[in-house]
Amino acid sequence: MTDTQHDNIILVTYDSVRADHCSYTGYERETTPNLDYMANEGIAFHQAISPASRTNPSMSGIMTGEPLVNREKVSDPEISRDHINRYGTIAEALSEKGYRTAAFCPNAYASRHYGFDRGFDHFEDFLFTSDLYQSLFSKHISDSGVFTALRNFRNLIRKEEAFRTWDTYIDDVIGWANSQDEPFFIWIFALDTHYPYVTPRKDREWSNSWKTFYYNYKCNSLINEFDVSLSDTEKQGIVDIYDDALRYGDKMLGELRNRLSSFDPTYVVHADHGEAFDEHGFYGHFFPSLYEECTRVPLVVWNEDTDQETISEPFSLLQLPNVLRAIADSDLESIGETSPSALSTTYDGRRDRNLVSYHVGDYKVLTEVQDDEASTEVYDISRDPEEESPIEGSEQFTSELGNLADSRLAHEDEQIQLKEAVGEVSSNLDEDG
Amino acid sequence: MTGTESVQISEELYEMISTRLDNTQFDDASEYVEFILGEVLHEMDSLDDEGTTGVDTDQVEDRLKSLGYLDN
Repeated sequence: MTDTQHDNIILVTYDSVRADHCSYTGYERETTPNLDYMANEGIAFHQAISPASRTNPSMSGIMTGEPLVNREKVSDPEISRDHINRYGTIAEALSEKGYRTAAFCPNAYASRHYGFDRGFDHFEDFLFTSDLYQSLFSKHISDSGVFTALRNFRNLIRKEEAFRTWDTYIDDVIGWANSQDEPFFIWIFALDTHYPYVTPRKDREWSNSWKTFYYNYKCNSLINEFDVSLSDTEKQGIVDIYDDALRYGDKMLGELRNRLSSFDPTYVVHADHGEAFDEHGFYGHFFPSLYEECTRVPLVVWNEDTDQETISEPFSLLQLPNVLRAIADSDLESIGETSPSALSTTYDGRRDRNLVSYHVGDYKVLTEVQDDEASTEVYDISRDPEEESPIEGSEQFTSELGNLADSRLAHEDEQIQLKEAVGEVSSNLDEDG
Repeated sequence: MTGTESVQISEELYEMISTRLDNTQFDDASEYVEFILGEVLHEMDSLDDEGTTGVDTDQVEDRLKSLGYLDN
């Protein structure tokens, strides 16, 4: 910070990073040494909970502070665009406080196509405009499966398009910061930790070229499978390439800290959702699920002057806009204030499943509705963090948790009905001219 | 929400809203009305603002497929 009242803020979002694979939460491998440093000196959250288990619905909640409630496929860009326009973003709120704002985000699900540029003075999502794209890849050619495979391979090697790594755009981030008046807010999204986990050879600790090729191939074969059964060797192989990707992604924090130190920014580092390795019969985050491996993520707040604090209670990432506002207002003391419960909610548009979970203290309730059939599980996360054995019986406490999830689902149904009613009236008015 | 102001509605409307509150997590009729009015005003703004991003949809879909996403 220089002569301004507000701290500069760097928000770093990692894709698909689960908290229990970060060394600051106690993971046995040193996957995140730079994040560990920040956690040891700053505010470290050990039970940060993402609002959903996939990038688009999760970041829609995180950037607005309001959970995304929908009953359509999230691949439809209108869903998040509408949500973001309805509730506004933290970037807008910081702009109003006088911040210059920029985003560097190679994940298409959080791109301007999905409405995430709202409130940013500069938004780089590395997508071309349609004219240039069409000139590079004609529709006819790009429909070919062989062509797609070849292009993916080329992009993987050249770190382009979907496979852009942090080292290819960090200079842009630094350049933008150096050209701005302060205070500034920069959102950096890192895809390095997303499947396929491809770590440069010199940065690999636990894998090698063969493992990188074979286990990414294995992951690819599991993406559309929802009843997988991995051997211990296969699971370890996937974890090895995943952990290397985490370690490589973490290097970005060290580089940012070194190159932006003159601005004395406050960092907020988190992930958008986790990643499953067959804990409950599926891999990755492609099958919407609210188990811990999919929603418990890292969250650390740090600057040179923060007092160390560890927050062990559940903390919803829907609170992230409040965290950023508190930093802007130099009110770091209020950051660790937790709410009584942490909500996650998502809709599986391929299979018409509604999922809701609440963390309440040590307990967690998960409810899923499909084909009008509801199932509810309650876990004591402090004793059973891997959610292997739901609590049996119908004691008052577990019933109350079940009621909480039921009431959330009913609340969402009411919200959907109201939205639809408003939309219907509006379209009738539109037709009437 | 930054602050609040009061408006008045008829008792009849208030009763109709109250009967719908039981199955929701809206704390009271004010929150319910706030949600509806927010939706209505947002919808009206949306009608006025039909801007496009200029991004090619095929390109976005290609990238999502590269990352393993199917249509969900």
